[in-house]
Amino acid sequence: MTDTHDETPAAHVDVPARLDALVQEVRRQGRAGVAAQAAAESCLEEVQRLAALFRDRPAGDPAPAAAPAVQPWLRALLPALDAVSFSAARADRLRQELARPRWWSAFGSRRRQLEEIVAFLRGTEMLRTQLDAALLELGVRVDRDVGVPVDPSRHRVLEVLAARASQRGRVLEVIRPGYFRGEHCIRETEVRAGAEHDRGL
Amino acid sequence: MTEDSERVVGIDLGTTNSLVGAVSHAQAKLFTDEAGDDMLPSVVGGGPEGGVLIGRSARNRRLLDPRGTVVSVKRSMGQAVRLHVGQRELSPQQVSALILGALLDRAEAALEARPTRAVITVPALFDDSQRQATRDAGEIAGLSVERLVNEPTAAALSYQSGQEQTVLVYDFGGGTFDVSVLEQDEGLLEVATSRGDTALGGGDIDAALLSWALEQLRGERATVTADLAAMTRLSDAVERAKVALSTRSEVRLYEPFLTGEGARAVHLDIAVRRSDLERIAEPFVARTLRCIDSALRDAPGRTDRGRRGERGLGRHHAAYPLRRGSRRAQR
Repeated sequence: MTDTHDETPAAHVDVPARLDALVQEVRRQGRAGVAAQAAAESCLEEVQRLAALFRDRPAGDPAPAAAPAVQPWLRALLPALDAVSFSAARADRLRQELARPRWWSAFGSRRRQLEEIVAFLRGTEMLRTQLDAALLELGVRVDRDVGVPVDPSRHRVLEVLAARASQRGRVLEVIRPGYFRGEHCIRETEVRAGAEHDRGL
Repeated sequence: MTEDSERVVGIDLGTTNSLVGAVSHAQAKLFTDEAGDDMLPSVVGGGPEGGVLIGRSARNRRLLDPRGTVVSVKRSMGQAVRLHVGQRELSPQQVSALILGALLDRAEAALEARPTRAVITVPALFDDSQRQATRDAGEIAGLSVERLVNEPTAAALSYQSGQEQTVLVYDFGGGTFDVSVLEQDEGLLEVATSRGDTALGGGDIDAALLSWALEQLRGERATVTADLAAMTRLSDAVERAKVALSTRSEVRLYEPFLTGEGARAVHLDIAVRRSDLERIAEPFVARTLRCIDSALRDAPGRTDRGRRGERGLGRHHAAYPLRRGSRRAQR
């Protein structure tokens, strides 16, 4: 059996050329290291500069503002959300009206068309429910509560009506829904409220 | 006292809304509430539990307690009257101090220290007793009032060039209009003359545009005007259109199911052109021009319009293209 390990590397490798290549590689790595260090130092300087700006801001200079709680896109959407809300409310009333037996007898043989209308109205109501749920996912709560005491931080009273004792100072009707994001009011719920004092109902 | 509380804040104590801000890095910055609103309604009222409400909440509850809610307290400054705030009776200075306190709350939240020094703006036409009442309000609110600055002077300060010049400030607010001619000489700004119309403002243009929109609804007009919800939505839509027409030549108003039920449902879908708004606003703009003529006539020593360098503009209503055109025409 022949032992092949007795051959020295020098027998097959051009040692000077290999050394030259290694020197060049070390130099290349060194240059890359220097560049990386320079880049890191530059980043560090920028961070330190920003930190100094913040630390040394004039006394009383307000801290950088956080992102606004109410995004402009949300405000821009409110009229469309209102429109969906009004459409759904009317669809709801019309669907209740069409549920009366007299309509079904009036349509007679065209009952299928009435069914289609009712299904369409139901779909409109569901659209509002779906929108409310989507807004809730985004942290926005829609307020349409009736019968609750008027809370000036969330209700804007647009009209006051004479009311029974149990309804005084309470929301009788929602004119436009309110939108709230956590504690932040995007728009107050606009309401009709029962007068706080007896108006001779 | 910390260094932060030494900072001087600027306060616009307005008839309808008030603002507070401070200068930082040579730039004025307004402080906002948590929802990002910089305007605080200048309304103070009683709360349901006997407390005091200031700003939006007071405005929201006003119709439930109109006798116990104070609006436009600025008009009562300097008068020996008592105003009802819920069950309390307060002087105009005390009511103004409550508004100032609410503004300071905002500033404190932003600055992390409650300011103790302020500059407050007042109308150029305020007399001594009205100015003293404003100072008193500041003191009641715990402020050292460093200076009362005339509103047109505050507006003109933004345009100060260091050269001798004449500045005309056109302040078209929500409910009032003021025009002032200021002379600047060696860094000093002085109000030469002020004229105003206390019954003219952007609200008049809103109302006229709303009336025009109702006309477009023709036969449905009565149905819409009888429906509070419809009128609220229409008023909002009209105001949005007015703002949009400052930068666009036409906007479309869509309000589906504005009012009515079933086959009688009214859907609003109308186009509003800038030319419509200009025609509607023209009589109001003409009234402001008459005020300007009067102010220019009475400005001491300077009656030659051509010598005037018209510079300052007050509020956002002044951004209408029609007004810009009218001002050019008047030079």
